[in-house]
Amino acid sequence: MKKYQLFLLSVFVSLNVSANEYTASFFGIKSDGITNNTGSIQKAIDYISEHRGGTLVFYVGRYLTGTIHLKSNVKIRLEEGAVLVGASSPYDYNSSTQGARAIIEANGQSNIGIYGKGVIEGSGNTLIKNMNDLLNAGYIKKNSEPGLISFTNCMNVSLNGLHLWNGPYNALTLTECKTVNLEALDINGRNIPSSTGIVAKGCKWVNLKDLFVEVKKEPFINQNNQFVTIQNAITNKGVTL
Amino acid sequence: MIKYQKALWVMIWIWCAGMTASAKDYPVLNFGAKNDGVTLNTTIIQGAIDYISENGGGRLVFAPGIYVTGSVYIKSNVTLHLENKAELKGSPNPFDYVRDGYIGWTSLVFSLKQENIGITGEGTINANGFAAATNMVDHIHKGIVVDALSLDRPDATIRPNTIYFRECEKVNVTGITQKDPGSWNFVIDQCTDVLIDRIHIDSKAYWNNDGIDIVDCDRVVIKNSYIDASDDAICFKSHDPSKICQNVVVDNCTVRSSASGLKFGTVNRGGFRNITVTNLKVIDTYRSAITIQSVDGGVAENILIDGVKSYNTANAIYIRMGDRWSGDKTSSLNNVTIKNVYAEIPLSKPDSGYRYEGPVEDLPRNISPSAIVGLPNWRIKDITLSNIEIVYPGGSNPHYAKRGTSKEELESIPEMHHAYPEFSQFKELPAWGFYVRHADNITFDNVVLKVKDSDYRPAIVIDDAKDIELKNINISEPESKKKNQIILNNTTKRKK
Repeated sequence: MKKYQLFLLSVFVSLNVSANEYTASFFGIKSDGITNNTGSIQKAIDYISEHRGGTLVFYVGRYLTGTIHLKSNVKIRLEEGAVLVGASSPYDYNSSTQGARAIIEANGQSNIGIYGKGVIEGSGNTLIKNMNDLLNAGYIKKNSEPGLISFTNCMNVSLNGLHLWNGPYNALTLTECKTVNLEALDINGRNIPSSTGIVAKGCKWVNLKDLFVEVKKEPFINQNNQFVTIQNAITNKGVTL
Repeated sequence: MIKYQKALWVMIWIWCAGMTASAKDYPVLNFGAKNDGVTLNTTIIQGAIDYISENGGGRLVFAPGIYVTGSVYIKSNVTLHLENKAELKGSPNPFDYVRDGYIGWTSLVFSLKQENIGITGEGTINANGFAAATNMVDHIHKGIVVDALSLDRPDATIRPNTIYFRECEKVNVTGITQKDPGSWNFVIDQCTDVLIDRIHIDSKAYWNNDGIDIVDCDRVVIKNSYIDASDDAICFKSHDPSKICQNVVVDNCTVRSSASGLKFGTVNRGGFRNITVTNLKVIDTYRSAITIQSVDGGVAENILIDGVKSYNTANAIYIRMGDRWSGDKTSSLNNVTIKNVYAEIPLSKPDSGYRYEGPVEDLPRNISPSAIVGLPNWRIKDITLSNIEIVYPGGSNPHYAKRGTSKEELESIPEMHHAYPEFSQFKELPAWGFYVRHADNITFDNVVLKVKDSDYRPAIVIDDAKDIELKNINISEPESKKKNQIILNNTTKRKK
């Protein structure tokens, strides 16, 4: 009987481990740079979150998407050569809060992360032009400016190894998050006049390590945060954040 | 009836005129939509609709090109105008669609509780439903989506319809083509003041694909339209026992179906009332040209069908009352007039070669007659059939499944109280032309029944009927000089 139980336990454990990682293609997410994957990536995140969590892995390719909402216990891994490309219409961005819109957005989630050597590409200048056209026509009102990543009221957040490129505004917005680890990030918006780096407000326990930030506006806005540690985080001008 | 019909038309014209006069045009391309057949435009189209609705209303105009989209919701005072060669095309990705929580169905275009809405122009809505449905099958096999996959297809409510309008007022759909839904096509549910004119429907890309479903609506006009569907073509339904589908005019439509052409039912919980259908053409249809069913405790009354031409369609008329989902209620079916009908019944399968043909059932047996069949205690009443001509192939073979006309044989035909109603449900019936049972005050006036090849059965069998009138009945069958063509059992004729 004990042996049997042990066997069952080992089966469950192995199932758990193998079920932890999902490739994007499993959910029909397309790497062609043309297909808008918002619905499929969201379905994948929801599915993984509802099935005890895990990692959604993107291999080489361009993955076009509008806003996706990251959920608790879900991590995204962008492998080398994987580019998550933000859609070029402002209508493709929304927020679950009144806060900042972004390609990857989360509100009130815990144990979330994005890591790997891939790129999150903001299509900044195209998006800004499209947004200004709609603003000038009066079709949309001035709304929060879309960024690359925006987490609000989240716990245990980690970003590691990513290239965060061509964000139209803030590359990364952190609002009232707790326990945030940012490591080995390359933030670059050198061709975009409104590009901004990391904006952290009202957070606790934020670690910045091995960051490189090249943007036109502020590289780091640090407001009302507690326990921020910075280790080898510099701008393109060699200034520590 | 005619007077009432005119009043309805005048009313609908007045609000239509009002709507077009105030319409302001907004090209969807100005909102950043792409007509390249690749870009997913869902959020852009929705953003444009919301803007127009919040700013006085108008038309969202689609110039020629292919606009891929997922589910969008039309809002009050907005008309989607599809120019000629403009196509709104459904995404192949099932995760780009919404299964609306209130409605309980999935659709490419929704409108819920809005007023003064429309879809116009000479363009097309291509729901691309086969792709979305079959991609959904893959997700179900992988366990990403949980579904019973009954009959190897996803549930009808998670496959996209083309259009689902619910609880809307003043709806105008004219000129457009609708094609290839993954489920039902065009559902108008609990809406009032609806005009459907000059639309073309091609709804045979998957199973369950109805053409138009008018569900519990009030004041509807459907005219000048062509509907080709793998399930019922024009279909009245009543889903809500507290509602009724009423005051409807259908004129000058042509339909093709691998189920029935003009169908009242199957679901009839509330009822059908004051419905007029004129100038209907039915072709290549697998089941009935006209079928009126009341099997779920609803009413069916005041129905006029005037002017039907039916070619290569398996059955002309099937009127059935039953007790399927009636619960505590009693179904009723009365005051129906059907006139000026010409129908040709083929010997071969009418829809053979179409995609998703109707299922072949219980062969071999002989051709079914038209029929009016109630229940012993729930009787169909006040039906008038005038100027009817039905041409049958005949040539029946008594060795298949003979049904004789003795009292015992007639009374042994099962009642099938609770069965799904279909003209073929009784299998072989004892007449080749018309079969009537459990029905009162039925009038046949100038009815011509022709059979091309002699049939072992009589033309007409009437069993358990009161106050029947048979006037100017003209029966022709080769080599049948002494045959008794009209058999009455337990039946009384109306007193003059």
